[in-house]
Amino acid sequence: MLRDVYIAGCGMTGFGRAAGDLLDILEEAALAATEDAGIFSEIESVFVANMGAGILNHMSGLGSALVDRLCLYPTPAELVENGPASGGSAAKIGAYAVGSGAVDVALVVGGEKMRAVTGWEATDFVATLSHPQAEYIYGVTLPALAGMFARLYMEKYGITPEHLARVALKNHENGTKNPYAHIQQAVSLDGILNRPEAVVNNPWVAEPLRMFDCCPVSDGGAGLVLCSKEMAEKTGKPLVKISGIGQATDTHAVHEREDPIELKAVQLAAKKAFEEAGIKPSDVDVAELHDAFTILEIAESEQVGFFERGTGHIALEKGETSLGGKLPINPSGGLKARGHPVGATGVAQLVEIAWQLRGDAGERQVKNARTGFTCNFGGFGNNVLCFVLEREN
Amino acid sequence: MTEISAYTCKDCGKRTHVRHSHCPACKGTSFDEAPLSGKAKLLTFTRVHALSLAYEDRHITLGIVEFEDGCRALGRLYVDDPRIGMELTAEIGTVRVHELEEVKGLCFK
Ligand SMILES: [Zn+2]
Repeated sequence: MLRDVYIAGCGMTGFGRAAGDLLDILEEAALAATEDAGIFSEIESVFVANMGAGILNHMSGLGSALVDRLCLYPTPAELVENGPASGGSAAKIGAYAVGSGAVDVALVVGGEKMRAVTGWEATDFVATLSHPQAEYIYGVTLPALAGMFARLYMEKYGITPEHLARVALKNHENGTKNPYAHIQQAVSLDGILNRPEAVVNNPWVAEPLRMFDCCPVSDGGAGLVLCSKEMAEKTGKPLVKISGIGQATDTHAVHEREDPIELKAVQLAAKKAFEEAGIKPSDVDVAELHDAFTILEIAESEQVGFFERGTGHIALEKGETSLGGKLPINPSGGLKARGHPVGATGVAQLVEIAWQLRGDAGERQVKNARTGFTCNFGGFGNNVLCFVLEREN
Repeated sequence: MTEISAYTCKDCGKRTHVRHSHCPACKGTSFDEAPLSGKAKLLTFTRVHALSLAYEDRHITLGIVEFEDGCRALGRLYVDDPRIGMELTAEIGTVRVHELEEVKGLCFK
């Protein structure tokens, strides 16, 4: 990028079930971010991230719709769709707009209203991102792709159902400290795994994955005000810089990957983000990973470079990724507990890291966090965005 | 009925079930199309309980297989006790009925 880009403001809606419609969600997230920044009329471009409005809410043209709600016209606006990585993509495009010098201030808002439809319709909607002839026609679901991935990953590295459950335990525990989380309730190993009634509480979704291995279906929105250094300094808030952005793609159909457990897009996106920031994975103090399924948090923690291959579950077991550990992962509760309104997630990850680096994360604050990382996983790993954020002052 | 095909690159011989404009191995652009069936080995599988569409079944089993020449595909698995590495035969059959129409696809037995 030609110049540095900063997060001047951030905010989000409470994830879960929204009373209002999708436009209300986008408005609330936009106002939360702009009020936090104290910047509004200076916005020169608006990027809205959403995956399913056309299917779920019978709406399109969300960029124009949000600009109208905010009476921001004639400010340019568009919708960015990249599956569950839509939020990361909109943030990247917003950052490039500011970084290129084309605009000084960009508003990025991600939002989704998924609970407008039944559970099986939501599952079918997310499955539309799979390959139409080679996957979708068979009734593939995202949990099914994750289940086939988990079976191989678990067998290769000796990961047990208890390790997966421990991801859920940790993220649910973190969620109890996040007032914006969809699920703010802790779970126990007895409740979801060990006791006989656990099979009722925690039924199969796609073997070997159970309900508590999967994120919930959520409504919600998140927003960011991105700007130049001069503008960011005027907010009087700690300076949070976007110091690295990486994105990579992979085969549409999962079975076309040479080794189905290699998440090449994750590896490449992370590598590029770290290179651009000029730091190593070991320099990261706090990370938000895309735990749409518990196995993904473990796999990503290895494949972005935090832990050696096959040791992510051991770091988890030792508490290294818990709050208070060496590298807290998903202090927000992650997708597992904060929730996963698909178009909002990539933005929400950046909001959490910005709060952590500013010291605004309340009960779930990671002490002295100065460098943060996010991984936003689109498709089943076919389009991935990673960001490195750093606190400057 | 839609034919379930595989595409063999005329330049390097790589066969894929997914159709591409450029060969994933050599970027070649001409292919021979032929039906996909025959013997294959099971690479991974899952029994799906939370189904996305109105299936009559309570659950379905999906798997990824590799044919003898390395071509891979996903399909429905009709075996009671699937094991990674087991030998299967791929046939074209009905994989689901959607809005009264039979959807044809790969069935592994
Ligand atoms: Zn070729």
